[in-house]
Amino acid sequence: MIDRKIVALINGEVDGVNTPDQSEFLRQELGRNPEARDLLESLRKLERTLSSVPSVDPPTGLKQSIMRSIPARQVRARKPEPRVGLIGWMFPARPLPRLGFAFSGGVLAGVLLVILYFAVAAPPSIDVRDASGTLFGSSSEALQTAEDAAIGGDGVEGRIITEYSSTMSVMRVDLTMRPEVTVRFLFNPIGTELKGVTLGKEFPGTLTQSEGLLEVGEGGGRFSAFFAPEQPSAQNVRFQVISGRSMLYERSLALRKIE
Amino acid sequence: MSEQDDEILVKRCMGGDRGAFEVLVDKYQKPLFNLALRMTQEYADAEDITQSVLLKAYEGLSSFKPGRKFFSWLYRIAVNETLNFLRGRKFQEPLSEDTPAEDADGSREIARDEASAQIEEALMELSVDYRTVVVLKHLQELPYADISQILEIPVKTVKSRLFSARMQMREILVQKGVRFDD
Repeated sequence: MIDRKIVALINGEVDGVNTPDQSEFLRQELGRNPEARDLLESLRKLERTLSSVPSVDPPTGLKQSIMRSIPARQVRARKPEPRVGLIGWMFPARPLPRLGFAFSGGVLAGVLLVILYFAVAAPPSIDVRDASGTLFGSSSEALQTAEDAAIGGDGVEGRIITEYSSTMSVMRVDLTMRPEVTVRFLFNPIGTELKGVTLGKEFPGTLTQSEGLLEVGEGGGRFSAFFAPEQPSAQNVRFQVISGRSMLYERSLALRKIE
Repeated sequence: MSEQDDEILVKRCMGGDRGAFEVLVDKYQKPLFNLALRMTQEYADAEDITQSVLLKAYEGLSSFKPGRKFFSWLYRIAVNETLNFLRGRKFQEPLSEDTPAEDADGSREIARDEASAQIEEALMELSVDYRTVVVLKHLQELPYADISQILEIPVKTVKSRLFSARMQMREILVQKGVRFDD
């Protein structure tokens, strides 16, 4: 059994944070306590082994990829410093209350006009709560392509297109696969919600869904998966082609371009 | 490059200077990538996490308080991002034990010798809390005070976690046949 104080000193010695006095005290203690000496030696060896793990270079295109994502982004402005003195009194950082009242009045009048329009002039609207059909009906929800990937290789051929609007991403998949091959789409269920899947008219394969995973097997087919990314900037889907216990192919598919 | 330099670069970024941010990316992409790689052991995931961390940092530069260490702030984002990723991955079953570490074209493998492989395996057997302190202390070579700031825990807790993590790791490595008594 090694005293807790000695254990703390041993750790400090390994990390090189002991004072000369502490190191000397520990040295004397180690002379009397072989168990403590063994602990220090093994922790030193562990430290050396850990230090020998080489550092890995990041992918060569990582920096470019990050910098390409930046122009459209804006650093959010820092809150203005409070102004003091005469200038602060004449040009306050926060709008004067009376301007706030005027603005609120304008907004209120606008809302009343809109209500009046819908109550009197507008044609009756259609209740779409039970409707089915396209998810991207309006022009404001036009889709942009994030990825258009041709898949070809061991056991799988086809195409995967990911498109996105301001609120959703859709992944259109058309794959022909050998029967023994399975493809997987892995996503982070915390950041990306799978809203639904629609199968093509002729879908010969199987499609199973669980948290963070869509799995297609037995020949594949055509289907579309709809996602609502909560963190739109960096959500990817991992696409994997598996045969038995071997992974034949793996890549990342962006659900949306970083804007 | 010092902390003061980082602060100057951050100020220039806030003024819209992309070049200043490029310098910060150059400086920090490798340590951040290695942090994520040692925590996840997946090259592609480490790449995604590093990209996400640096973009989040850029977007959130206004919340960085001058006078604080920039790298501690950046590492804090990186640790959170990695932990969120690992929490998400918990829901996904492992694909296979012999999954190769490959990139998009399936051609690259992380070069590693047997000792490194044993260390990586032992790291993955540690709890996430223990793995984090070991990676920050031994693979990123950060002092206690910085680890304390990054993880927002007292220095005392850093020391005790580190000790328990080392003891556990030593046991795991002994079970794997690594000898500590020679």
